[in-house]
Amino acid sequence: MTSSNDQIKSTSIRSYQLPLTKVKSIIKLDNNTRMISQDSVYVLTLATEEFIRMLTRDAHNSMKQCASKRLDRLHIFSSINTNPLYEFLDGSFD
Amino acid sequence: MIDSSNNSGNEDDDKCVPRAAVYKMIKDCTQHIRVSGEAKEFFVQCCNEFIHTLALQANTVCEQQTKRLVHPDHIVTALNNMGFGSYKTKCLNAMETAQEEIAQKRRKLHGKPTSIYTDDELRQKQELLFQQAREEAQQLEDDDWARTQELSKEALRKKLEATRTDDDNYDD
Repeated sequence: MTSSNDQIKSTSIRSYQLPLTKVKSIIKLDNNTRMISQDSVYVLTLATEEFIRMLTRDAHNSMKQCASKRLDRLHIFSSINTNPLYEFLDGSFD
Repeated sequence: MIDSSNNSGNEDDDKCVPRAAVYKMIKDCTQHIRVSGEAKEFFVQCCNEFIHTLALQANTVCEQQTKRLVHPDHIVTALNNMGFGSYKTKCLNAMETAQEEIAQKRRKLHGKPTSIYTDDELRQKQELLFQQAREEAQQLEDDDWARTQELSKEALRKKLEATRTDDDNYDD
């Protein structure tokens, strides 16, 4: 069976930065998850990267609002509490 | 695709997106801004959480459609459900591009063997190799013929020697 994972990895347009195998093993941690296609792992990885960029931008904005010189955890917290999109992150951390 | 999830508790660190990759992405977005170590760590945790949540959502969508395999469409639906529908275009475009590349490579692989030379150049090279082979074969033949000649001459000479010895030796 061809490894489509290897094929995706070898595409010259390196359009993703998170390793697919790592993302897949994180997905597999949940015992309830059923089998997932490689294409799905790829799309999920891309979505995660987009999420990081989005959260970084929001945290950055928070930082600018506080006129801070350094991006801190607080700024990320602030974004999480402000934007309803990040609600799923609530309560996941101390 | 067999589920081989590890339940060992202290492997949590391993089941985490690589920090370096996350830092790089953050750096690309923030460039000259300093980011605290705690913030970086927090980004990593958020990242993991996102993967878990999205995977779970996609799994639910998949179940609802009574499918056994999670498909990219399920991921997209899950993104919509979570409110991240804006990611859809970018993700799907990138996937299409990747699939096109893979298809192209496959076509090349199953087609003619790739070569840096054109067909004509390859033909010329082949002809050259044939020519060389012909010359070498000719040379071998010539050498062989020459050796045979030598051996015959030698044999003849010895024969003459043999007949002469009987008559001439007494002269010395």
